[in-house]
This record gives sequence, C-alpha cells and structure tokens, in this order.
Amino acid sequence: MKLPGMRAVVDEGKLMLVGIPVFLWTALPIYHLCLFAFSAKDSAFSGRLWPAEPTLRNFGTVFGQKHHFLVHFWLQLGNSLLIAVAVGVLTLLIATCTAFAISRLKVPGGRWIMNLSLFTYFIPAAFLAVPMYKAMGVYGLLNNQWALILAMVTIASPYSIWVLKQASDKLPYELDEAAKVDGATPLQLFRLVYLPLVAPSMVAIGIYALILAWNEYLYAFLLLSNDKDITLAVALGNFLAADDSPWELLMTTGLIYALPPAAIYYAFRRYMTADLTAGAVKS
Amino acid sequence: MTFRKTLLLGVAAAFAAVTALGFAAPAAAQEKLVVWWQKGFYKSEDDALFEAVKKFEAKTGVKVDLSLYAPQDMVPKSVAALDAGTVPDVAYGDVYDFQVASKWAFDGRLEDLSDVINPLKAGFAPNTAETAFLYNDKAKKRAYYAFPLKQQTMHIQYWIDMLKDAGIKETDIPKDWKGYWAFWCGKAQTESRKKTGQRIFGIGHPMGVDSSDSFYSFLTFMDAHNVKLVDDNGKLLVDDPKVRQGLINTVKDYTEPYTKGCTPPSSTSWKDPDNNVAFHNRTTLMTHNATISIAAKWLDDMNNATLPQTERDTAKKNYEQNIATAGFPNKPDGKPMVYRAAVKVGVMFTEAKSKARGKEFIAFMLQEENLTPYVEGSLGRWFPVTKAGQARPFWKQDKHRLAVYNQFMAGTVSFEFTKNYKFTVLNNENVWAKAVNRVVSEKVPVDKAVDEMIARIKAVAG
Repeated sequence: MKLPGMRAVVDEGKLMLVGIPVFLWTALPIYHLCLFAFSAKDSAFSGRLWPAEPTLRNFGTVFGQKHHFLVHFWLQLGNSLLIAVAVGVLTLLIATCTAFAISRLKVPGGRWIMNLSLFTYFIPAAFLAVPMYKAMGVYGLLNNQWALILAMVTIASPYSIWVLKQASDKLPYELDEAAKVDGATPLQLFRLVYLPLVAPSMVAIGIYALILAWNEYLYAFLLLSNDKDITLAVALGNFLAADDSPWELLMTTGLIYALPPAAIYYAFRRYMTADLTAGAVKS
Repeated sequence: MTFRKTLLLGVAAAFAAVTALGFAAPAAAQEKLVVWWQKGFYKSEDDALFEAVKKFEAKTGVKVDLSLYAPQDMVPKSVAALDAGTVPDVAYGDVYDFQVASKWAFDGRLEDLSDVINPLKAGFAPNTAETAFLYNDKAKKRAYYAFPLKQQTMHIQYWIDMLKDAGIKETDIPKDWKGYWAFWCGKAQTESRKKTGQRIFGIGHPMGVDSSDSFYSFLTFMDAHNVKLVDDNGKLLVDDPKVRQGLINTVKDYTEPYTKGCTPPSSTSWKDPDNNVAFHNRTTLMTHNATISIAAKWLDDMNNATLPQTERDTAKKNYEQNIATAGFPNKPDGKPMVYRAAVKVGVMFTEAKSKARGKEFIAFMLQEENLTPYVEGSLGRWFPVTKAGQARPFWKQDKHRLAVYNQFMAGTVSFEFTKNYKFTVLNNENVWAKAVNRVVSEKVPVDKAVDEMIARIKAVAG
C-alpha cells in the first residue's frame, strides 16, 4: 500500500484545522439543544457533558401540552405547518408560471421582471417589515394567517423565480418546438413538457420556501397576534417571559421544531444542492 | 382565449379574492376593543386577566380582542403599530416604563389618562402613580399619560444551606455596607471553597451590557452612595463635583467583586437569566435580582405536577428553607437603604380608535377585585401599586413575600426617566454597565470611565 506523501498529510492537516473548529462551532448549539431536552429540570445546568440520567419526560410535557406556555403546542405546530405548506405551494405556483412565461413563452418585459427580482436581493426582508405591516393593516389582514402567507410568498418569490428561470433556460427548446409541431397548446406545453422537466428544481424551490416560512419569526410575530393563530416559532418567544424560564422545555420544543425541516432537507438534499445552485451563474 | 389572457385573468381573479377576503373581515358589527397585553409568566396571571376581560365584556357588551405577547416583543410590536398607524386601544408591557413610555409621552403619542387616574389616586401607594405622571412636550404639560399596574424592586437572594455548610450562620452576615460585601467576597467565599473543594463564588454580580439586571443593580449601588443624577424637574446634576465623586465611589464598589475574583468571570457578559442560572446551580452563594424570580422558580417547581415527587420535595425545601430573600445592607453612610421601584405601566395611544371604551377598560382593570388577582397571580414576582393590594395577607404568607413587603414598606424612590425621559435612552444603551466594563475588561481607571459616562449622560440627556 502506498503511504500518503508529506504534502498530502500537511494539506489534510490544514483542512482538519479549519474543519474541526467549524464543525464544533456548528454542532455546539445542537448539542446544547439535545443536552437540555434530555435532562431533568434541575440537572440541565449541572455542567455535565451528558445527563447522568437522560429522560424523555420533557417530551412528554411538551406533547401533552402540560405547561402554561405549551397549551396550544399542537395547534401552533399545525399553524406553522399550514403556513409553511401554503407558502411553499403558492411560491411554486407563482415562480413556475413566471419562469415558464419568461423563459419558454418569451413574454415581453420578462427581462425587466428578472432584473427586478434580482434587485430584491439588495433589500433585507427586515427593512420591509413595517411597510408590510402597514400594507396588511390597509387590507384588513392583520392578525390573519393570510397576512403571513402573502408576506412570505412575497419574500420567497423573487429568488424562486430567478432560480427556476435559470433552470428553465437550460431545457432544450427543441422539445417545445417538437410539441408545438404536434399541435400542443401553451397550457399543454406547460403541463406535459415543462413541468416534468423542471420537477427537480421545483422540489428544491418548494422546500426553500417552506423552510423559509417555517423558520420565520419577525414577520410572524408582527403580523399575527392571537395565541391560537401564531406559529410555534413565535410561541417559543413566550418562554423568555422572565429571567427564570423553563429552559429544558424551551430546548425540547426547539428541538422538536427543528426536526421537520432537517428531515425534509435530508430527504431531498440531492435536489437542494443541485438545483438551488442552478441560478448561481448565468448560463 | 390565449394562454396569456387566461394567466392574466387568473392573476386578477386571485388578487380580487385576496382583497375581498381582506375587506370582508372588518364587517362584524359588534363593538370591539383591541387590547395588547404582556403574556404572564404563570397561568394564574393570564387566568386573572382573562377573567377580568370576561367580566368587562359581560358588563359592557363590548368584545375585547385580546392579544398576549412575550415581553421582548411588546416594544417592537407597539413601535411597528405606531409607525403603521394601527395601534391597539390599550397596551401593557413590562418594559414600557424602562424603555418607551416617557418618550412616547414626551412626543405626544399618548392619551392623557388623568380622568381615569385622578379618581383612583387616593388608593395608590406612595411613589407609584407618580411614574405615570409624565411630561408631554407637545401639550407642554405633565399629566397621567400612563396607568400604573404593578411594581418591582431589587432584592438579595442567598443560599442559607450553603452558608451553613461553610460553617457560617445567617446572623454572621454584617449589616453595614463595606462589611456586607467584604463578607460575601471574603469569609463566605473562602470558607465555602475550603469546605466543598468547589470553585464557588461569593457573589453573582450582573455586569453584562445587554442586561437590565446590571443597570438596575448599578443604580441601586448608586442610590446607596446617595447619588442623584437629576432634580425633580429633570435637570441634570452631573456637573456637581459631589455627584462625580459619588459615581466614582459607585463604580469602585460595583467593580470590586470582579477585581477581587468574587463573581464568575463570565458575569461581565451576563444577560438577565445568567445570574439566576448561576445561583440555581449553586455556583454563587448570593446574587441581587430585580424580582424574587429566583425563589419563585422553586415555588413554581414545588407546585409543578409534571415533576417527580423527589424534585418537588427538593424544590419545596429550597423555597421554604434553603433560600433567603433579603434587602440590601445599610448604605455607606449608615442609613437604611431606600429602594428604587420600577412601576410597570400601560398606555393608550393618541391614535387609539375607542378611547372612551379603552379608558373604561383601564378603570375596570384598576379596580381592586380585578387588579389584585392579576398581581397576586405572579406569586410574588410583582408587588401591588395600591394600598389595599399591599395590605393583603398574601404578602405575609411566606418569608420571601414578607421580605419583599418589608422592602417596599420602607419607602421607595423612582427612576430618573420619570423626570427626564432621555434616561430611557441611557438605560437602553446601558451606559452604567459600559462604564463598569471599561474598568474591569479594558482596565480604564475608574475616574476616566466615570468622566466618559458623565459625558455620555450630558450628550444624551443634557
């Protein structure tokens, strides 16, 4: 067996020097999340690396809605899911239609729309929070879950349009031409030719929009008010109502809340890495 | 019809549907009052509020649209509402008094509630409603631009059993200022470490810039040194050499536990929960805190049915036997401490839609039968602002509440921001903890750090 050369060992060592701190930096919060979630109330801050007697009791308290801050846990988790799915679906609908119209039908003004969607990158979403709040107030949508859904679709759409348009541009036009020769209408072209080909990119975009809405805090807490309407992300803020919070329950709820997006991401990671970078360079 | 036309029609129909959905919502005919309130830490707080709201609805026939928010969300949510012009009719937040109420009053954003407060004035304890008596620069007058609800002050909490384990009795704790801090920093810490072999610290001393505990504690130390930064008209007194010297003494005192190694090194960056956490895991023997949340945590645990009996028993022992709540020692001049109370206030914005009903709701909430269950629902974390509330047996039912009661009964003073609203800016910046950190972390001499602090006070509040 050929031993690695000195240069390879040094290169590997350099990578490890960067990789290990980055890994620790990333993994430490997750470790703390788990440590608290599996610790009994009074051992959470014991300073041990792992609880002496790990327990699932905190999960029982959360799932059983047995704490004052968790009385609407399932409802709020459902709200998060409903809003995230609605945002994912609506964003997909808008982005797919727009990308198809610009890329395949070559509608006039398409270039202008693409430039505008790129321009939105320059404005942080937080800057638009108050104007958005005001707009929703004018429409009478404050304290209505539609307000958050529409706001999140607004934020997610430009990037989604950009990525899908770039993915669409890569599809061979000969397929469209062949379909047209066979008498396909634009709607048939969209449904039978375009959608099957961009499906992997749509998965990536749908997940991107879904996770964006799932993790949203600022807009969710501004636009929603009632305890029964808010998302779980906002409800987690209630745990900080005093300087002596039930940290173990906060962390347990946080861990539960972090699992669905992580599971979705890993299930579809192939699409995420391949297709979210599709818009990175102009083809 | 072409595909493009179908698409355009679809988009137009979707927009129309969404708009119709939006405008259809306010069609309800019943009179509505929009109330934003801070979510309570305990279920009993929220239950008392819900009960009062229910009674108000039954009495008036008005539907109260009540939304509860986490404390850190109340100010940004209110500011967003003010910017957007969609304010609630009544709003209450625990940090309004510290951060925004006096500035909103100065800017003329708050409704004058004098007609609500004046008839109830006789029922308020001294130095409570005064916090709500704020200056409006637009109207060029002082009036009750807020309503007082409950109050807090600074307490000391220490582990009795840890002292006992170190061979020290509670009666050994000195009563004089210097002796008191020297005791925790010296004998208590040394003996405790010797007996346990653990790195226990005598004091949990909040110094983080991003913490309200640190500025509340610093200002309490400042009171102990008889430093007054403003007069009753809000005029700055920092040019007085005695004030400067008092501030130097305060910063020296406040930094000493750190420089002597009597507080955990991380306390320079502590946030509000950190002194609680250090105390609970017995890293510190004592700490100062702006409510009795530390003791109340154990009360909460001992009544928590989801915990195993062993943990509940431990919590009961901690609450009833092992933890003490106490006031500060006598001031350096030998006189007893007078504590600064932070009176928590609610407001009505000038842009509120239902002002008359809103005032009716505030007056209703301030009635003893509604206010008392709400304040007592916090299990001792908050103290009443009314004489009747303070006189209730609840405050003498256990040793922690009794200690709180005694501190308030000794008299209180108010924060600078009630006289000069710009002190809310200084508190938000936490110029106090910044000066402390200049000394302990950046090794700046105390007098230089104080001069910088005074310069900042003059720049902001001058």
